Amino acid sequence: MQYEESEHSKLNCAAFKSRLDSVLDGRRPPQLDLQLRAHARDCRPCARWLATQMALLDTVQDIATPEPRFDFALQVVQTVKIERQRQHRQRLRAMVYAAVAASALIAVTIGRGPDAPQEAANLPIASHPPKIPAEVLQRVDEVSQNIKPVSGSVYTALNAIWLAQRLL
Amino acid sequence: MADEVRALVQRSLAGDQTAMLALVDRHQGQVFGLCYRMLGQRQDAEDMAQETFVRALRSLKQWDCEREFLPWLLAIAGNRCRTCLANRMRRPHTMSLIEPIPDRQPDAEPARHLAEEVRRALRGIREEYRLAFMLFHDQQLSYAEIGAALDRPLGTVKTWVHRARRELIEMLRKREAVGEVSHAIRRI
Repeated sequence: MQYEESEHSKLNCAAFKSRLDSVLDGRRPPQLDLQLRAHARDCRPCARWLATQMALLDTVQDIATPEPRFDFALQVVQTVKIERQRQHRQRLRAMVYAAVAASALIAVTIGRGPDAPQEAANLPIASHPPKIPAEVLQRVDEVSQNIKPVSGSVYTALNAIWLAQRLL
Repeated sequence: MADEVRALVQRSLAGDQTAMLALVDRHQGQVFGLCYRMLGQRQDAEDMAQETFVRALRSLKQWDCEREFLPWLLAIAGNRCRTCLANRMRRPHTMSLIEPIPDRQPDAEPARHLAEEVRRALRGIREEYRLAFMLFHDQQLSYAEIGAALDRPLGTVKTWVHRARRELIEMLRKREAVGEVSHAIRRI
């Protein structure tokens, strides 16, 4: 089979290389292109170029690649499993620390009591909830949004210390 | 086949380890092959192939199921290999760990010899060129797939592949790696 029949198929060497590129881009065998063949027949350097190109592409697909070790897939899945377990543990730990910090914060706030007048203290609890400074509430929000699995525990502990310092 | 992969991905996302195993098993040859050809060293290739799969399984949600899975996977592999090569450059003493390729031996069996020469030449070209060349000619991806995988315009990928071919040919010619040209010319 041949294609690209053309009466005016004279190529110069630069055009030969460009055409070779486009033929290879289309995954067509260059030896079936009449223009390339015609030029290669008359031009030894281009014939050598074409031969080298063909040898290169034949070889690339034939280069033997060693197989990965037999338990490769198993190792990958094991690694993923271990990583997920570790992340899960870290998240859990961060949540526990956050819960502890939040409990400590609430306990400290309630223990300290509101700076309220005596008559207010006699009112039912629901009508005068402990005053938690807006700054502290904002910080608690930030903490809960920014807990990261890796540094969650350290981060939460530091924030608990920061809150305690602010409150005491 | 693409549907099978999608089903495996869905099951993997649900935490099914058998599906993960099947997904890795199905693609490990191509990923390892690319890593080996990029890095030229078995141990590094295995490490990077493993990292590729771990990252892929970790970020399966990010895969666009409208696209092919393999180009996405190979793009991760390509990035891992480039990182590995950059690390090697920063630690030049590790270059000695690269598996040695024997110097040109005229008496060696021609096909094996040519394969060694091609491997050597591949190591001598720019990483981007090598990656694009291998994805196009070895993994048989289209330019569009390579462009999407490497996040580069189609024209850039084409240029990389063309330059890779030309540089490889120049290197092989300089080393006279393709001995019997007259035989090849006869095929033309």
